[in-house]
Amino acid sequence: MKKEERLHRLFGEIDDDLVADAAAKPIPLKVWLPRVTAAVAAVALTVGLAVAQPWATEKPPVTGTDTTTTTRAEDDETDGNRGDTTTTTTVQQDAPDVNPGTPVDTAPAIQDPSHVAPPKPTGGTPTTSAEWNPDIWYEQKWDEKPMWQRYPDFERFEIGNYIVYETTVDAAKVGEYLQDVNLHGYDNYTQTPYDEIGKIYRIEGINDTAAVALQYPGRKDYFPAVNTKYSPATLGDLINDLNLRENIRIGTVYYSYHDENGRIHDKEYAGLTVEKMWELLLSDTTLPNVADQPIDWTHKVAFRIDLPLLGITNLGVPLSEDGYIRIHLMGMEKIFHIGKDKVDAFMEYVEENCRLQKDDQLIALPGDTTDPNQGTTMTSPAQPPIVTGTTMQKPR
Amino acid sequence: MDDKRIVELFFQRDEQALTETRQKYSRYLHRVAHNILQNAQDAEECVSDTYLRAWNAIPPHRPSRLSVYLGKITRHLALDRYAALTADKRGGGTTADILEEWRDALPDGGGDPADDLAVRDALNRFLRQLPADKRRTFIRRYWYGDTIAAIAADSHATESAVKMTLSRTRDELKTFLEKEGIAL
Repeated sequence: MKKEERLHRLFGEIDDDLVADAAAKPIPLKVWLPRVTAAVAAVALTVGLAVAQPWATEKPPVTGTDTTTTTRAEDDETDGNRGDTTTTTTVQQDAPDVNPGTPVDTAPAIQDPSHVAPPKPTGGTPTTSAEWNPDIWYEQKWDEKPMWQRYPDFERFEIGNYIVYETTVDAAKVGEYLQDVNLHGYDNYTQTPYDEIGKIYRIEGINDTAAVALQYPGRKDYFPAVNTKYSPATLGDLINDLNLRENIRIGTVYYSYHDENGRIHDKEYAGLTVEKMWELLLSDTTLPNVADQPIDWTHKVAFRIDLPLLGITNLGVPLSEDGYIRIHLMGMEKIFHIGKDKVDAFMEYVEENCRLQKDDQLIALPGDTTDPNQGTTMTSPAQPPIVTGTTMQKPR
Repeated sequence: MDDKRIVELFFQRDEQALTETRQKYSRYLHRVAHNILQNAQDAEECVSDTYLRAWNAIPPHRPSRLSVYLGKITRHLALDRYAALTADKRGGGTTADILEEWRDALPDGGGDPADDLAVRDALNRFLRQLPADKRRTFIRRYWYGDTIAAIAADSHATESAVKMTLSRTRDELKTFLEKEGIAL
């Protein structure tokens, strides 16, 4: 692969927060247009007053401005931007005022719907959700956001980037003070950056390079913050660093399969104990973390776990046909090869000893008008694309 | 529907997740793909593949930023398709221009190529120390594939100014990688 091609592809590995930050923040034409028109009007009025003479027979020039709202759809069609930014011209119609003369921030062509404010309809405050553009998600204003949304992450030099979870850590589990950290936030409505200093503490029994407790300024509670760069060398390191023997809770075991008609069948079992999970799957703590190696993954079964101390709930842990277990925790994958025999033994144990909670639930295919499980008419035909298999390649 | 709820639907294997994802992100993903491929049909196929990939990957993945997570999948798929198309002498447009920009900027030689993780880490460190506007211009051009004209229009700058910013940033990245001992 050529250098430039390789680099271009590796741009795909730019950190998510940087990519999200660079995404479209639409220029609200209806916000800056009035400022422009006001300025033009002011100049025109000044000119008009300067030239008008009480004895003049000519009428002063018309100083009104064109208030026709242009939309992004009128932009250059050749670059393909046309059309998908039409709605953005009304997005921040009622955004907080920007001082006249304040340069409007950049507004890229691609709009990331996850942090764009919805348009307000011209008729006033909407009374139904149908009046909101369904493509736009409403982002809360700065003072409406909880602290963990205002400052969702922070850096620890040479350790990693920590993301904050919205639950709180039991104060009894919070240990020694570690350090102050810089917190950076950004108000998309006013394009205003914010900075604060937070304090991080050790969580009892947990390696601080994996997770810490964050205390925001002026608050007494603590939020779990996990290091997205945390990568244990072995399964034992993972178990010890996160004190999994004390902290893990286990949920159901589930898997899906396709029949000859392409229908997806779901099965779910309850009643697997944590002790059995350790015994069947995680007994060999010397297993190395092989997440950085290419693995062809054929999914077999998964189970759910919670780590309440860190605010992690309902995390799916899949097992592959070839005996890999994948734990995608805290922004990075941890993969261990426990062996095909263990996975097979696990499946056998679950099917013989656990309670079948969801029995062969059929998923409707696109175009189905009746519920395949009950034969009743559905209110609308199933729409999703046909999932042709659960085989997947190890994601990059 | 907010992203957290959509991800929960994926975890519940509720295919409403796909409906909601399409409704919320189809335009965004089309733009990412179209910027690379400059072809609506190819872009459409990449976006459809993105939904399937997301269905297969969530769970166990629980993306913290669903938009970027999906966008990365789409970008990756689009680049694969672009590589195939250009091998057949089709395609071009913005991606070809971007590669041309870097072809001139990157030095020849430089020793054994560093592994992807090293390049990725260096790239992110470089970007984090840039001023925000410069970084955003860089990412919009080289991650999102926006045209110079589009970036200029949205930042109320001239195309020349945007080109100059990008050119300087490319040089800075080149110098940064050389100092870090990172060869491509």
